Amino acid sequence: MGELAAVPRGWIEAFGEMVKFGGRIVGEVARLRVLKYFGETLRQAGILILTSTLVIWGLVFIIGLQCGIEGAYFNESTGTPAYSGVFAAWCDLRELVPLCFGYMMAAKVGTGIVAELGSMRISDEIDALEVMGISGITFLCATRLLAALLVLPFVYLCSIGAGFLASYIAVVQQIGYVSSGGFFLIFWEFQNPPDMLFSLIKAMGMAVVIVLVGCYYGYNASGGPVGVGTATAKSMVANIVGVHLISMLGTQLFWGANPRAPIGG
Amino acid sequence: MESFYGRENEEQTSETPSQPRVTPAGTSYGSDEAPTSDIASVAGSAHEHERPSEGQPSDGAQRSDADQRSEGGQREEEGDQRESEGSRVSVVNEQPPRPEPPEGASEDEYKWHTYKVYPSGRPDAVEFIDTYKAFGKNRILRGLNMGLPEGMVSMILGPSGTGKSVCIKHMVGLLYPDQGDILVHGTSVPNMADDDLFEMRKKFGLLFQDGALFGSMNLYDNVAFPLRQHTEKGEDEVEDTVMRRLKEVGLAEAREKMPNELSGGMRKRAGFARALVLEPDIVLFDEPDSGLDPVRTALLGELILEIHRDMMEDAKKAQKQHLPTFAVITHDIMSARRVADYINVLWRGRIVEAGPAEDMLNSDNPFIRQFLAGESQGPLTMD
Repeated sequence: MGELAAVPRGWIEAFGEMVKFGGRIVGEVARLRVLKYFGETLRQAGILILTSTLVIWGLVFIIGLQCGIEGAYFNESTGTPAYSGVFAAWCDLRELVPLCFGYMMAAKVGTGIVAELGSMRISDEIDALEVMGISGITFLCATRLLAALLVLPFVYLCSIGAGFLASYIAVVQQIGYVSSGGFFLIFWEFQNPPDMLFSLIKAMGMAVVIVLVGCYYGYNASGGPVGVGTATAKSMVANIVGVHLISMLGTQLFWGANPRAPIGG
Repeated sequence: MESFYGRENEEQTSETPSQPRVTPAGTSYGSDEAPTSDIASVAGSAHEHERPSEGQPSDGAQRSDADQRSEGGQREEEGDQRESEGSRVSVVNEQPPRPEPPEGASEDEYKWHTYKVYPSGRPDAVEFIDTYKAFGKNRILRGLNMGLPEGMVSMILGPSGTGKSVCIKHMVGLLYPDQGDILVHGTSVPNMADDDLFEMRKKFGLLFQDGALFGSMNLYDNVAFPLRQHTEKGEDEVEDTVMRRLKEVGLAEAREKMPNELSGGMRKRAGFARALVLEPDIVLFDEPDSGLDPVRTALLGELILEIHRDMMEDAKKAQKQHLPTFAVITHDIMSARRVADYINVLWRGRIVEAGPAEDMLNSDNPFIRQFLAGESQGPLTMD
């Protein structure tokens, strides 16, 4: 019984440590101390753009196609093919684009951070950095967070575009139950600029959590290469749970009380 | 003893009539095996001062900068004089009581610890005061009192698992003691704020066991990294400094190579170059000879001595406040014999004995004799 109770206690402790650690990183960014290493920030931003952007856009494009196909066939089956744009609009902007962005961020960026920082930790590189009088948290973690905040809004907005494009291709060009004009009429009817902002907030919330979780597990990795592998797996679990929680809370917060569904006038 | 200061120390010792070899034993805590004397001549090493209570900074922490500067500026000239001024002759046995063994340990486990500290004649650059550190149930440092004298190449020797690397991490504030204090140039490390700690760390160069080079940078950028981060030097000046250091360690031709293209020995030498590039006051070497063949170990030892000698000359010319202090952790007794000016022998989280290499090599403590001779017979067993 005691052992069973120790498990959730351990989770809560780890969560507390994670929050504390994340708070330190956010503090370094908020107090602008990270700007001392702006060169490193730009380097991280470049790495993010070059290594992660296409993968994220690719995944979102595929999910946009799926949303379009599902929406088109569902509305056809209910006799409302002209409303295919509803499903595409909501599915893309509110749910699946943020989720896929979060998945790919967790899989590509989050695990990459854990692996990189973890290997630096076990090979004493982080200690070497600290001994040189450079804060590892600022140089390694805060720069990554700032780089993510600089780059990812643009990456995400482009992701939304990729998702919309894919849905349009699937609904109008591939299935063709609705004309281009008819699709866009409904598609834009069911969303407005604040929705775009809310979607962006959801995605950036995920990105921040993923970077912080990755930094936490990587920076505190121990136990040699096996330890780094374990930390990477743990970070993936934590990030996937985090992504879904943020997605759910974001949907409840932004659209739960006002779904903005102009059906029936 | 081939090193620059090793010779100087020998001269100092021999020229000081009040410091005969048997009685200058500094602080001895009266082990049965240790030679003791009713008339003890105590020289001015920081070890001889009474230790403060646990967790409290020592007197050294309160020394003013002015005091330290005046000490530092005239240290060389005043060496002998200070030794005689700082010395006092007791007419009664003033030996402090032998410390109790740490909690959970028996007196028998510490029977070879004489705690004797032979005087070095120099202030300590780094000082451990009653330091305790445990990782879970594994108690590593168990009341450690140890000093690394300024301007010397000190060795920290001891069997595996006695906390030598842990000591280094305490010196630079990567680990904090559970109890006790660590002073660097008289300032308490555990009590420093983060910003002060990062500033203090610039005094240190640390050579990690495997070099700890940054895997994402080539050799040149690795060595240039501290200069680019901490100085306003232009790229030309950075290149001059980096190439000078790389030449010193024989890696000028490998400047473009990535760390994974270097051999273990090359990585160590590169780490050495990086540790020196900011011209630190204190350079720490964590087992620089591990994984090296005997010839390269000897060459690395010579390199350490040579660079220490150069840094001493530079420090004297520049009248630096603190003389360069090197501390080497090793298991290699030959390295210790070749390189060390001062030796600390650590076992079971405490110093067994410490002192100038000559004194330690002549120690009659069976544990020290066994360890420094690398013999299988003696107090140290596989247990």
